[in-house]
Amino acid sequence: MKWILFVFGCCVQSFAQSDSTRHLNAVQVYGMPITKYAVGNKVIQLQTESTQTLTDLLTQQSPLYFKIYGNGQLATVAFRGTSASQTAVLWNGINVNSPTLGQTDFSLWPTFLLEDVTLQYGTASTLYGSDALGGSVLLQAAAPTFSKNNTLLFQQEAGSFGHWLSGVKAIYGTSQVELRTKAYHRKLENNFEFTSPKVGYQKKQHFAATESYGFDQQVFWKLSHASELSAHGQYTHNFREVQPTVTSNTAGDVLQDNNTRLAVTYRHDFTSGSLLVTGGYIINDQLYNRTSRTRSNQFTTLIQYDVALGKTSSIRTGVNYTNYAARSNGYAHLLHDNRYDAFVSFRHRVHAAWLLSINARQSVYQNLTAPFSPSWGNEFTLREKNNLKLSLRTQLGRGYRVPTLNDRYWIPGGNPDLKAEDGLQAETGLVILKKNAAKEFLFDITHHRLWIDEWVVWLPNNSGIWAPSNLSKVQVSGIESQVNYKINNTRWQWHAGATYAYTRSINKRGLNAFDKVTINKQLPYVPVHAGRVFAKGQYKTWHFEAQAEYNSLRYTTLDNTTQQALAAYALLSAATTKKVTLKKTEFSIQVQVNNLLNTYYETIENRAMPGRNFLITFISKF
Amino acid sequence: MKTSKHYFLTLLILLTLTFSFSSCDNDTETPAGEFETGVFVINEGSFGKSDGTITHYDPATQEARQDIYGAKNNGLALGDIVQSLSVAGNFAYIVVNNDNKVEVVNARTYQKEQTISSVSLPRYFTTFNGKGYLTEWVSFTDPGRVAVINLSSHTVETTITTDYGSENIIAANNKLFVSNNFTNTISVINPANNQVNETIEVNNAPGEMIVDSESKLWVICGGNYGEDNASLYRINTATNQVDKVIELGMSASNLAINKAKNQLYVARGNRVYKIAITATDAPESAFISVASAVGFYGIGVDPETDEIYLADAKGFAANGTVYRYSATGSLIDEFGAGKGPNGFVFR
Repeated sequence: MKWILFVFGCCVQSFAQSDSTRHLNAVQVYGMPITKYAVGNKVIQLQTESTQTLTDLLTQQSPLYFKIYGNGQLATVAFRGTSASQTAVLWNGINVNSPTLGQTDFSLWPTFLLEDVTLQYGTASTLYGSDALGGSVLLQAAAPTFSKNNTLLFQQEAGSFGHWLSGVKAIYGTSQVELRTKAYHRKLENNFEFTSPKVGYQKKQHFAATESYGFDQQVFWKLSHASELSAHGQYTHNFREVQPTVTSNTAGDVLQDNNTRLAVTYRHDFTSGSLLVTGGYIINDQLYNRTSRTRSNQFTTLIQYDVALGKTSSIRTGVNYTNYAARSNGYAHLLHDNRYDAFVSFRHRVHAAWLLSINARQSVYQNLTAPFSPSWGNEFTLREKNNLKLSLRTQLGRGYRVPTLNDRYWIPGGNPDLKAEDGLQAETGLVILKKNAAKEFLFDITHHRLWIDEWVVWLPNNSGIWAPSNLSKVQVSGIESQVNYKINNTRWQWHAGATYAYTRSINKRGLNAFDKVTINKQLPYVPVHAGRVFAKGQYKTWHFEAQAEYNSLRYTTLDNTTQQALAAYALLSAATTKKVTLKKTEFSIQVQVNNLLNTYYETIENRAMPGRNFLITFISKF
Repeated sequence: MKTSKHYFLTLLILLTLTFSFSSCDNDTETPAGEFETGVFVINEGSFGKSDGTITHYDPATQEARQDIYGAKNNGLALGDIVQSLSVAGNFAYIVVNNDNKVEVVNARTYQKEQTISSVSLPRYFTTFNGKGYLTEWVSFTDPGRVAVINLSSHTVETTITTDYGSENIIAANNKLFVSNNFTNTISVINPANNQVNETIEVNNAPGEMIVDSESKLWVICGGNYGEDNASLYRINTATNQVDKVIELGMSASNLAINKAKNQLYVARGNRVYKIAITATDAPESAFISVASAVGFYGIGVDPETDEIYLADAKGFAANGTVYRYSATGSLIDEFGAGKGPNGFVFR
């Protein structure tokens, strides 16, 4: 059943679980799940195997759109039609979006070091604070098992365009302590060939090599049956030649990123409640062209107490304090910024068929207050019999994004008085789940609407200086649906599915009072249609899978000229895995073909993406 | 009977197709001198997007055609940051800054002829006495230079090192004047021996230059970014001396001159200021104010009609708009351009 060797020893996931909406009340969770109070939100757990970075993982398993500046290059997300800084990325519950730019480069997160990746769609500032407007990406450690299940895993990959990855994972556990160690090194030459219509002849990509390595250590210590202390440290180094545009024939810039992340968590269970205290320290260090440095140090403390009120309710209260210290060429001096959050969440089962949650958060940054953010979510079970469950989700919430340090303090232009971006979201979803021992069918359809005001835009002012202002107003509306079908019989297991997202992200305010050209236009880099289809099969020790992804035309300008738009594209990929067990050692070999049809495509204009490419992965687990 | 009917239909369809094909051909066929006249808008494009283009505008028909290079070269892109365009003889020289090249095209058809690629961060091109002169930033840490280009082979013959950020170049009084944008100097080159003869000190960030009716050279200096201290320097091209400075009290970098070469135009934000060459102070009020413009990024005056063209780059969020004004300051027309319009060439 557990065909996946890639998934870390203790992390028990059947392959059948992927892509399915996680129903909180149905899933066995560890400690306090981060999404416990996300009632009414669409929440999906992803699998981290056979992908390179978080970018690959999310593009393959969700309809999220990424602006990718080349293979292994800078990748920023547009979640439900929002901007790159309107997605919260939380690592062990800590917002790790860059405080200077306000966004995450997903290419800097190797999946080899990741365990649980959860996607929460839609506005969730009440739960995760700033940035959670379009959605949230939650990176969590898998629950410790505290068993003597000692494991050693080696992974070696070889792929097209000089891709080499070597990784090792080790786990050591007793009934009281669990240690997990991971380390990897990856190199990518990236000298792929491409034929861009803008160049007119086949060209070999130059100056796009990347090299990265990283180290990850986790310690879980069961202090008593009711308390646990854990520490998680991670260091990643990434050096890359910044892939130039297709028309360039000369070397470009180089970028080096060093990220250090440390989190210490203490949990104590009381008879009816649970206390969670997390302290985190994050260092983002970026060096541009070997000379220009941007560095931020972030210290976060998170204290929350979750208490059960009888059998049907629970309430969680907490505070979050973050201090940022940042230095950059654009700042006058070392900047300090403080953020204080207080939040409360209430979850109540009103009826066997009605679960609700009400949440609220207030954030204060420097001397300004972010919009007060309440949310209200419901899950109604409309029908539950004969293995059929029909449920309805609704959610209403307000979200915000605190302007970044660059927005507020960049010299010249930065505006310390900028207001936080302010969003209001409503969504409703219908889930049909039919399940028996041999088959499972899932259908999920969601309609969402999001109004964002005070959207920060940088434009030249009257002095010709680029400066940010709370200029824009955007309305997002969309439909997301997914279908999953699984069949298990003694020999074969099949799993097939499709997701589709329709997203209209519409600009509602012009560049100035007279501008009509950009009003009611789709935001650039937001595909109206995005879809994924996959099929997986397993027979004895063989595993097969194929998948396709599609993104419709994307505009690159706010006036939506088709002449400058990026053409729609579809990509196909396939993989086969064979597993062999010799005594106590498990081996697996996987052959993967990406972009099978050798399609030329771009996710941002004139940055080539690779054509057909191969990857062989060899894993041995002792 | 039925068969012949089919025949007839097929024939009709074929004929229609042939007709539409041939009419298509007529559309794309190059009439003599298609780009011999008109206004050319340089759209530099967004940095790192390689979406710079040239727009052609016919003032008579008020028709604008986007990306004429792409249209005449099977959809090829010009490249990253199309900084400037100069026409000399049968050729148009399109300087592509961040792609380190100059595309040489046929000035009548805009079909690609040649690429000059052995240059580093090129900016502006001019010709003098049968030679081409191209400014190059080279890098952000090295002094800039001027490449001397053979106009028949289109190869670099030699280079002349000037100062940091070698930017605009203009010929006056048998000399070449180069504004060095990363510093506060103007280099004076003697084209006879390709030597920098003199270096004139001006305000910070000297950029666009023009020559007035009295053969004086005007250079606009942007000053310090964000400090609203741009200024106009007038240089006597015979003595290489600064003989007048007008403090503008604002940030500005776009400069143009009227047909009679006695009125300067300076653009700032969504306003245009008119300054007589005899003036000593900056004007109090704007000559043209365009409320609908986000911010001007380029200005040009048609040397035939004296009409003023203003390029609104719209903060690069959308494609730009060009406003066409009469010499008396009344709006004649406006038309769409490409991404980030920064200047004009009139033919």
